[in-house]
Amino acid sequence: MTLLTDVAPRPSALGTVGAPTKLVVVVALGVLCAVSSSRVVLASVAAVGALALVAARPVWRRLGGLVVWWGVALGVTLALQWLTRDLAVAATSGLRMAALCLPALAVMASTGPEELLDTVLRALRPLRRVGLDTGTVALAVALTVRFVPELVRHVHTLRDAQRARGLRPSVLVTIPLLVRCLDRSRTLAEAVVARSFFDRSDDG
Amino acid sequence: MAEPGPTGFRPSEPHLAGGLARRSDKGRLEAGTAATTPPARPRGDAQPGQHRRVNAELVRARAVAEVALFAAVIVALGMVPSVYAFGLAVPVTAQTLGVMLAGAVLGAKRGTASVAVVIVLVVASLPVLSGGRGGIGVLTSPTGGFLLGWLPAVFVVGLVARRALRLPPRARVCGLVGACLLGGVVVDYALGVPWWSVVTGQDLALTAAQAVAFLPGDLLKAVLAGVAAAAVHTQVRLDHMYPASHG
Amino acid sequence: MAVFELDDVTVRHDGRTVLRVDHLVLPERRIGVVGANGSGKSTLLRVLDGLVAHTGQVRLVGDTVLDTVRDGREVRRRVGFCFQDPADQIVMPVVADDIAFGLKNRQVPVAQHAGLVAGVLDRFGIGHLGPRTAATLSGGEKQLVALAAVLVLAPTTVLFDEPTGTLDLVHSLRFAQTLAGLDIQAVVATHDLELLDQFDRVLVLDAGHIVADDAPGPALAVYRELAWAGAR
Repeated sequence: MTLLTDVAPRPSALGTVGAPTKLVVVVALGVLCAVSSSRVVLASVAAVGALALVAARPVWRRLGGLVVWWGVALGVTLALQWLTRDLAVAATSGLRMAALCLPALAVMASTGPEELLDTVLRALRPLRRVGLDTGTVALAVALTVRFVPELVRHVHTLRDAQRARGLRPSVLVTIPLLVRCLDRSRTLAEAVVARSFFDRSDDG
Repeated sequence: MAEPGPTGFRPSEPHLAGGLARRSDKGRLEAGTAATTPPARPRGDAQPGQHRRVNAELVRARAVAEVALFAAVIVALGMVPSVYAFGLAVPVTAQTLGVMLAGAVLGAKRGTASVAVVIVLVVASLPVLSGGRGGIGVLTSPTGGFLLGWLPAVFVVGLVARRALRLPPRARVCGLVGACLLGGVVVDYALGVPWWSVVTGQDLALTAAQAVAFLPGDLLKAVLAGVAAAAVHTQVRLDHMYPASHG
Repeated sequence: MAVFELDDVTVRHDGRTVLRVDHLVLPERRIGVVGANGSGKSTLLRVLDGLVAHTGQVRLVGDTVLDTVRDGREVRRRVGFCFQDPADQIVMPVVADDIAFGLKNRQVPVAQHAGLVAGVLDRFGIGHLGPRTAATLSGGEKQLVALAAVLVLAPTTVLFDEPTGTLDLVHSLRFAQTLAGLDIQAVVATHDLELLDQFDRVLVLDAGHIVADDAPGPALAVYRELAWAGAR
């Protein structure tokens, strides 16, 4: 399934490492850095992360939003830690946040969404025993991606309608939005059944 | 005599004007919501007044569609302009509103599934969170706990919401607001704030003090979500949100 | 070509009878269904595809006899359904993936997908829409994509629920032309009386019952009568 992303990651050495490996490593490093207070550990992980990020040849358009977020969080945290405690504590905090952020960014820069999604879906396969079918999850994901642009447009239309009536756009636009979604879900269900989705074999 | 509609046609049953009324329309395909397959019937056996169960598949498909559309709502609400709560320099996006609505309208199971889909999209690095954020870096960030906290939060909202729907109409709104406050604020903060504290290395007290800045906005959103959900439930009847009726 | 047979079919909802058919055989190639909103048109279509609970029997008679409830899977392989709003039927973000959705579900070998998808898109002159995302399509384009997604599965019958409802005149006429060129049985529920002009048979529904069943001319005359009666 093709997800609609404009920008693909640039090919890099890190890109050849499998997504599951990368995700597991990031999570493991994250747990490590969350519990560790050793500045050496944190600094090492941060350094490794920084190198990995550079090696991943990041495309900033993809990472921009998240980097800004982290930057703001880092700045605020450093300031508060320095003000309420001291420079040393602030440094530890800064290192920890860098150690948690950089490896994650490296993974994101070097792995495409389709690959990541595939990894998640494969990880969910064991859940088939409790009745969760990966094909169904994949369909849900596809449907979500499919409808986001239409819903955004609908929200804007509803907001414009409110403005036209002299009201300030309020969160009450969610009401007609949700009602329409529920109506849609009925027809969508019929369409999915009509195209034999549940007549598949158990391979998902 | 009723006025003819725009096509000059007045249907023979007035209450069917404009298509089947939404409330009854909703229930049409929910006949036989039990997920068991219908018993095999001999050919030509048509017992009057006794319905064959509709395809269990339609019910499952309906669930998938609802889950996906609400996940799309959560994402879409993160993409529209935010509002500033009480003029503070703290932008409040409508995205968490979407999360609470998923629980309050769809209930615990489907609501949680919707949030799970959103989290899957986040892990897949799609920019679905407000501000165009996505990727595993969100989970390791200070607000990662709030994101994962959406899961138990929406579950709690859904559980309480279902009970709230059994109340009389006026109490129902309060119940739904309570559901959103309990799940959307209490539970989400309970996971989000400690996580924030761990990631940044700040004292829990300091972190909590910062979290308070977002509290007014989130409380307001919980109230709005409850009210909106109540309104949606009066317009659409979702059979799975009510105890199974027999007969 | 397949023939639909309905026997003693009742669809009830909320204690009300939404559709009631004693006996009906539909062998014709172009069948129209007209009636007011709520008259049971859409329900009749859904009954033919096994999408709604009913009593009685609905059969699809071709080389084998299939019951729409018991043999739902096989019926759906032969019967396609085009819904009123094509947006509600397009499931995948990218057009080509949506066309391939049904192929995937029917376990058509993946190697054949690209060719089949390109083939059906080219047939309607929308080959360029393959890589596009569904949200960027116009209403007319969406409808063609929805139709292509159904036709790529090679059904013998396609059911249309108000296909021109959301279209302007130009696109409605284009649809009529497209339909005329399709070598399938079509059952069309519609308000569009011009579309029905070339049809073999038209059923008129009122409050869930078939009140007229004839060639287009006479059947539509009954429909107009009903409409005038209602308007007075």
